[in-house]
Amino acid sequence: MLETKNLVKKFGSKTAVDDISFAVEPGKTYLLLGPNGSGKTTWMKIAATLTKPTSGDVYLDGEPVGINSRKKISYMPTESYFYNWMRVADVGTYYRDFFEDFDTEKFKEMLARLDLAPDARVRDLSSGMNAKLRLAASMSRYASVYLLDEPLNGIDLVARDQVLDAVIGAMTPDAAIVISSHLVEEVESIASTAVFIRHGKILEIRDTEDLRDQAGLSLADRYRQLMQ
Amino acid sequence: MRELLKYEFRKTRFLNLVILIIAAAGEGAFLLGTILRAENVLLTGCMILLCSSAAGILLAPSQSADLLYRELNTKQSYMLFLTPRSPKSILGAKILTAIIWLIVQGAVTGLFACVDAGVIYRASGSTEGLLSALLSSLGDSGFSMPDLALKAAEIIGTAYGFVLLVLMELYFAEIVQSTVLNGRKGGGWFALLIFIILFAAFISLSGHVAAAVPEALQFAAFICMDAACIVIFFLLGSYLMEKKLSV
Repeated sequence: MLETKNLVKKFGSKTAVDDISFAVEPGKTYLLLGPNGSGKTTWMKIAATLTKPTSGDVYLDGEPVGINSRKKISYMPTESYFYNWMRVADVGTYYRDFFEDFDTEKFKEMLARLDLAPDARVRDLSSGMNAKLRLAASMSRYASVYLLDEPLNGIDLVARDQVLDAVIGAMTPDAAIVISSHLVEEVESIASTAVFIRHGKILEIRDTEDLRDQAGLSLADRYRQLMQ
Repeated sequence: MRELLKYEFRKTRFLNLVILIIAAAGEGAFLLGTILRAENVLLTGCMILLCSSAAGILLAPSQSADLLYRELNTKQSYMLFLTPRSPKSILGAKILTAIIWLIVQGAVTGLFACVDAGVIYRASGSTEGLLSALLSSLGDSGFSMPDLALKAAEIIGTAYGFVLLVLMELYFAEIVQSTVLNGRKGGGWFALLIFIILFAAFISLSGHVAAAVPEALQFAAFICMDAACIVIFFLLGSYLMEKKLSV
């Protein structure tokens, strides 16, 4: 479905993504796990076509990602990006205008579930509320691939459950979800595959069930082993 | 494209509407001054109308250029570049919005000018007063009415072409800054330098065209030159955005 081949991204002398290759399959939830600056966001931005790679490529259904793949990939950035003049409901209208797979009813349901008032101004939202809005907009699409960059950043403990419930609600056999996070324990329960990444390189790709059953390790344990 | 235009208008409407409202206020003052024969009010109205016309043709494109700069260099860029729209559509929507606002501003100015002429004509108390004065001054200067209309059309066309070309040069300089010079220190200054170089090159080219083309054909030559440059910068800018832009 989403295949990364020999992807390299350099910013000047710094290599953010260093020859990464891996494939994302439908029906699975992937966790990109790594410390800050490990290349998770850069990979996501390349897959979402926001950033151009130095070399290598990302393919969606066999085609290099580009304008057409944006119809099938739903990306939730880690930073706020909505126009300041918007109200919460305007974000839904914007997504409806540009994405054929956007479901306005689903968006309204998510707003209610995440305690977001439709008439609230985007510029008045706290960082946590803004993250919820980004999540609601991204997850209200029927995309093939969801890329969620640090979806729990800035979100309080109670609201984290709401966010994870929303992610679980979007899981379908046809769609893949990739979540980047360094809050390993928080997202462990919803992951089927973990991708450990550091200094732009993939250290290991593990099935989470296998890890628990065969090695008797939690994701957090394995993360500590690999990153120390 | 329709959706992009909708949001471009939404983003640019505030300043343009403010300019139109100020122009309407100036027109109101002008009319009031004419009817009440209050010279101060009339002159104030004239000044407001002149300033709002100038603002319409200068500020609105400046705002458009500023908007593109912010959309290429801040996280708001995601609003555009996450959507399944090509750079050509995105840039095209921006330039089209600027053109439409220029036309709206020009049309409103023209409408006010017609209303003002009508009011002056009525206030003068005779049908011949204004017209005869105008025609006699035209006769003195060797112009006929059709000559005047043609000259006005040429001046307006040249001014609009020039403004659009300058806007496209600004767009292009900003795109170079955010693609080729992406993340480099002093990129903004380089963008300004690129704009100055492009502007100087255009002025130099205009001089050559003015020297080489007979006067009767100069208007057409300038319009063709503006259009060609706009198309070239548009295609180059779109290409750079498609191949090089990382936001």
